[in-house]
Amino acid sequence: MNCILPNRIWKFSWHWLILSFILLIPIGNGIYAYLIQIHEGLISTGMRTIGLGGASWGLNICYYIYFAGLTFGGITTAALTRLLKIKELEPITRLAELLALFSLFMAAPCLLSDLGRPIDGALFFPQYGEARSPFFGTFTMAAVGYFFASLVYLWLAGREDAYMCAQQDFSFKWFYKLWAFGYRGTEEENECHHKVSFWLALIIVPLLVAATSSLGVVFGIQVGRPGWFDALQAPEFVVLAAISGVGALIFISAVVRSVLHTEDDPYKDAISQKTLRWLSNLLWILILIYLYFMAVDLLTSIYSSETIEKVVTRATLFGPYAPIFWTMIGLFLISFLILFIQYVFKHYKTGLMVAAGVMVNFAAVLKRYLIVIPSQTYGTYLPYIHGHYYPTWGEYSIVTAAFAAELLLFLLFMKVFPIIPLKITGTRPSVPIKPWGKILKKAFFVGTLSFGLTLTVVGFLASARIGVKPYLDPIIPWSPVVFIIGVMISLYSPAVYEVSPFNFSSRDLSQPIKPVSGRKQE
Amino acid sequence: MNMNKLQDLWIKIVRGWFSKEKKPSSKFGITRRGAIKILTFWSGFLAAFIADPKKSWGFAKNKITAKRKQGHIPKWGMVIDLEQCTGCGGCVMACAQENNIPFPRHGKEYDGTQILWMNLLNNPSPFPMPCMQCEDPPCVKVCPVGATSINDEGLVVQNYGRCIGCRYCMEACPYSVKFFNWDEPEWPGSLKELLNPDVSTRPKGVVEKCTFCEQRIRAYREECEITQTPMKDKKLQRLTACAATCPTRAIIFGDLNDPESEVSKLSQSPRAIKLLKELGTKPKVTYLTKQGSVKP
Ligand code: SF4
Ligand code: SF4
Repeated sequence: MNCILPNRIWKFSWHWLILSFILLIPIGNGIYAYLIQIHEGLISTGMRTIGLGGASWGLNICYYIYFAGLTFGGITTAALTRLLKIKELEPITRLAELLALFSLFMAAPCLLSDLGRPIDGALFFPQYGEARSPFFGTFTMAAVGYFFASLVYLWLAGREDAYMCAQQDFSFKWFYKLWAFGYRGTEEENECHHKVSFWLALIIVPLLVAATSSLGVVFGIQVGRPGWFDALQAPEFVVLAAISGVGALIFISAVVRSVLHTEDDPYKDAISQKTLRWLSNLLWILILIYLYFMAVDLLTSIYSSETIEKVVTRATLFGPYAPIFWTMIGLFLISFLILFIQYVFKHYKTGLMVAAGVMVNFAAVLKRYLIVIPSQTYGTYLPYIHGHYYPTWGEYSIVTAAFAAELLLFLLFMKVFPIIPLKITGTRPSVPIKPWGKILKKAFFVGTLSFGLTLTVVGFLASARIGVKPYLDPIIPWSPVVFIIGVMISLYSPAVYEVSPFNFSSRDLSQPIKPVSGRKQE
Repeated sequence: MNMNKLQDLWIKIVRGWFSKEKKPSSKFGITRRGAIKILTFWSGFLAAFIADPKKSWGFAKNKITAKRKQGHIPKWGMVIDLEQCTGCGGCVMACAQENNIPFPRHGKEYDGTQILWMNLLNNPSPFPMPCMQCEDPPCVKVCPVGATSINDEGLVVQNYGRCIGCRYCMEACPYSVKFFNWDEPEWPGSLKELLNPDVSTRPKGVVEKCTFCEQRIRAYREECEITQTPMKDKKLQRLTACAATCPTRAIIFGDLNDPESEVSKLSQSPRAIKLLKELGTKPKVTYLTKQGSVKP
């Protein structure tokens, strides 16, 4: 058993250093802007009180939803690839997992920078989190569920590569060894991993859909905000999240592909155009579904008679938000047409696919803006003045910093770990698992899962106070943490199955596993 | 020792622990002892839950919901007569004075940052606008940390120490009567000495709103408890700062659970309307109007 290592690991080119340095500038600027915001209060933003001519949620919330959407898109792609065994997408599964993880890292500062008292937010939510508030789902399921889901995939799928890296003369060997977590490179472990990936995907996909819906519900259940109160809100959020995620993946895959080409890497043909084609066809289907949702939504509010709902719609279609709205529609339509025509004529151009991927992301941001803002500035039932909202330098800085930080994370990761799953050459040694090992593994898995589920249920019930007089604190303090830990343990139970050390006893090793050392070039 | 006895002992210990006076906590809101308590409680609760789910659950429920038994529980409400309202703005000033509301500041960046527990809309005619103290308040339902809650007497109250400033409640309130402290409030010069000692000032980053002058209700209740007399409707009618100031007596306060009170009677009037009734928030503020003179 052998592997081909990519060129870039632990080799820092000038290009790389300069690019990373450039990215540090917006990051520093964002941190500076945030410090000012902490010092002065949210008055340094463009947000103001609803009813007094402002909007109380602004750019940070839009981008929080956007980044959470990218996470959803990334991790769902990774899961579906395993679930449906999509060969074309296999080379980019790690990119998808990374997109999910890094976007989530960026969603957190966006949300925190929206809070009036961020430290209290981080302390009080675990103590007093209210299951009744849609934010509960957002903070627990979306934030924590996404996080652990993307991490567990990244970890399990990367164990073999980490094992391979641990055999090289790289720095930080302990990091690779920790990641490999006892992996020995046997055929049975590999098989076990594929089985676990499949089952994990089966569990994770519905969970992720629920989590993304909980984001939509944040808006969808607001009776008092015309334009938000809408049952379609949750499914729309799911589809839009998938669109932006797939669009971003096309972009990232194409960039990585072209970088590998210029570097003349052994992996330069790893991401083929087939992968991009697959993604772009998925993208136009998703855009079509989303356009359909939007049309149904618009039609409903246009037919509503002289209600505030209509005021909001009018402001969006023909009023001050019209430029944003029509740009958004235009971007969606153009990207759809590009991708669809390519599909019909079976003639694909990488540049055009990337352009469409980028355009849908712009459109997704604009759409989020249109979801969040007009309902606040125009959607008041009582005769308040119409408001406006213009983001300030500080808000733009924080958001830009988040993008830069995400890119930097990608750049850093590329240097320490294979960003495309390693090509394994030769055969893996086979060490059959003993029957008792199998039983023990299953027992471990079932035990962990039931423990995790029990904690989830108990934690949720203790936060939700079902059957108890409403409007009190959680029955038992810190129960939201118990819920979160329960979700985490449940998500990790398949990992327990995979890594539990009952594959073989050391005496069973009839043939020694001799891993590769040194780099092999094609 | 059988399981039940063990559980009883456990409950006794925990109850003893939790009912003790809270010591000032550390910088991060939790002391080491507190952490040990919570950890022990949780492991014990889990053990008890596995042994006897029903009983341990019931205990946890009772621990929190145990509340004092009372005779008459008032339900505070307000009636605003739009026929009488002249739009003088006295209520707005009185409210600001009573509740330590910071002065509005001038400058473009301060537009939209004012705090008006009592607002005066002017469309089509003057229209005083306090918090409706909804019986089914959307703002309470969405608060992620329980910083805004409804108490036994139906007052929707705000816990400033708990509020994390997410402003979700501002989005949820259909009446737009919640206000955020966009920056640190200031009282220039000697105005600081005029602050009402009964009402806390609010730091930057939290949301606030009308409380129906909760502090005045408390003070009056204490006064009645000392003199051992029931609360009188006559006094209650003008208890809140806005009602006390209104020169035309357009604002009447009182107990909606007392059928003899002025508010109860007035809110049955054929002129009575509730704002945005169709949203199901059940506001406890009633407006009196001639048909068609108010367009909510
Ligand atoms: S009027 Fe608004 S702030 Fe007052 S209780 Fe109702 S929803 Fe809450
Ligand atoms: S701003 Fe404060 S009171 Fe309002 S929902 Fe957020 S934490 Fe609760």
